[in-house]
Amino acid sequence: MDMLLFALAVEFNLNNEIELIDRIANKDRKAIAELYDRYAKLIYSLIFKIVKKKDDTEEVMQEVFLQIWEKAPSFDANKGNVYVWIVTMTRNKSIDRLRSKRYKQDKLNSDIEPFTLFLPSADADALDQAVASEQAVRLQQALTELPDNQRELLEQSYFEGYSQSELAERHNLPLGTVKTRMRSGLKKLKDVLTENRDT
Amino acid sequence: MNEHLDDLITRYALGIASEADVQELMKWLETEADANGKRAFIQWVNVASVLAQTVDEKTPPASLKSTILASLDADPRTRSTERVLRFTPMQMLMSVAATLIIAVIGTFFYMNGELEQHIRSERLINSELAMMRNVVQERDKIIETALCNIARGTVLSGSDANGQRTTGKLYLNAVSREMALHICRLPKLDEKTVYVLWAKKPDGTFTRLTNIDASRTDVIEANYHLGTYAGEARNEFLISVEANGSASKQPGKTLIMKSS
Repeated sequence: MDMLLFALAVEFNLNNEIELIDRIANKDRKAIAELYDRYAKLIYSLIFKIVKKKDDTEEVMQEVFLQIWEKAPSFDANKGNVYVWIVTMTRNKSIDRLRSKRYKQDKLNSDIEPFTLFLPSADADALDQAVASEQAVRLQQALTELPDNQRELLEQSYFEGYSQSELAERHNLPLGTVKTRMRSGLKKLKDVLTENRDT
Repeated sequence: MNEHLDDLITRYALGIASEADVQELMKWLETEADANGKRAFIQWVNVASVLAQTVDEKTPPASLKSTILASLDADPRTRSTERVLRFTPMQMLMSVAATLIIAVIGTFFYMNGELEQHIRSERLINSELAMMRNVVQERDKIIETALCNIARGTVLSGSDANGQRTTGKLYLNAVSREMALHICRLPKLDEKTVYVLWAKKPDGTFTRLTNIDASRTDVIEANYHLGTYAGEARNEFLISVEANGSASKQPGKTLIMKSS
């Protein structure tokens, strides 16, 4: 598989990134430029994977950075880390764009803080490790080893924004089967991360 | 964690949770989740976020960075157009003039369009009303026809003194001894007379089955229990007009309907 992983290209230094977001919150243009250099490829690639068109990708990318610029003051490091914040925001913005073209009216509200539920940093050590490069490599491998019918459902929900009901309809499967396959698939991937952390 | 909770977290982690899902998760995290539960939750979310790193690498155009940085300080209401709006003063004046002309022409066509739209709407409403009236009339006909022409029943027919033809059908369940009668346009009688339904027995005599309530409108839908007579009936029935209160064991001369 010729997929390239970004994990090695992205440095996840939490303290630096939180400091970077603090500076962006204070409207430091150098800081947002620095964040751009660090995340541009990841964000651009994720958006392109979802919306598929170059023009749309550039527009959504602009929206993501504008949102980072505006929402940085409300970023709470106690509730999550910068990587997850940015990835979630990017994914939601992209799915919004995709859905606005697919359904016109069916829109995720990507303005909602993406990490509303994230937990205090005392519990977030696993999160720090989860985004480490080695785990991403392992996760990539685990993803390819998942049964097709589980991997497809996970990818179509994450990268195409289909709900479980929509997936059940698309694949002509009972809703319960879709839920079970997605739960099992994600659990297997989670186990890869957990295993890595525990060893 | 139970399956329901796993499903909720799966949906949340994959970014397809509904608002209700999020509320439920929030409540669980705030009130019920222990340290292990919270840790598991984080792990599920991690998995999804790391999925972002599994996509094919694309490099953004070199110009995109400067475009994005340039748009940061713009008024949010004009940001989306700032990239393409780079006019000289003369171009600005011309675009304002063009905008005004377009606005005037647009208003004219808009008002014309509104009027036409209004007329079209009224016509549409009238035609829909007419269609609905037709549908109601057709429906009444269909109901009447259906009640009078259901297959497999015993057909009863006859004409009253004014030549008004009356038809009906009678259905008999020999096992349950239930009978259903459907008659259209049975003429109304005065208080002194009553319709009586008869069944012909094998020996050629008649059994009085029941009086028919004809006080209702055009269609009579009646259910009667035949008792022991059902077994005696030869599938020949007739309806006569009898004096109210009469206990006659033979039908009178005024036969309104008989089975064909």
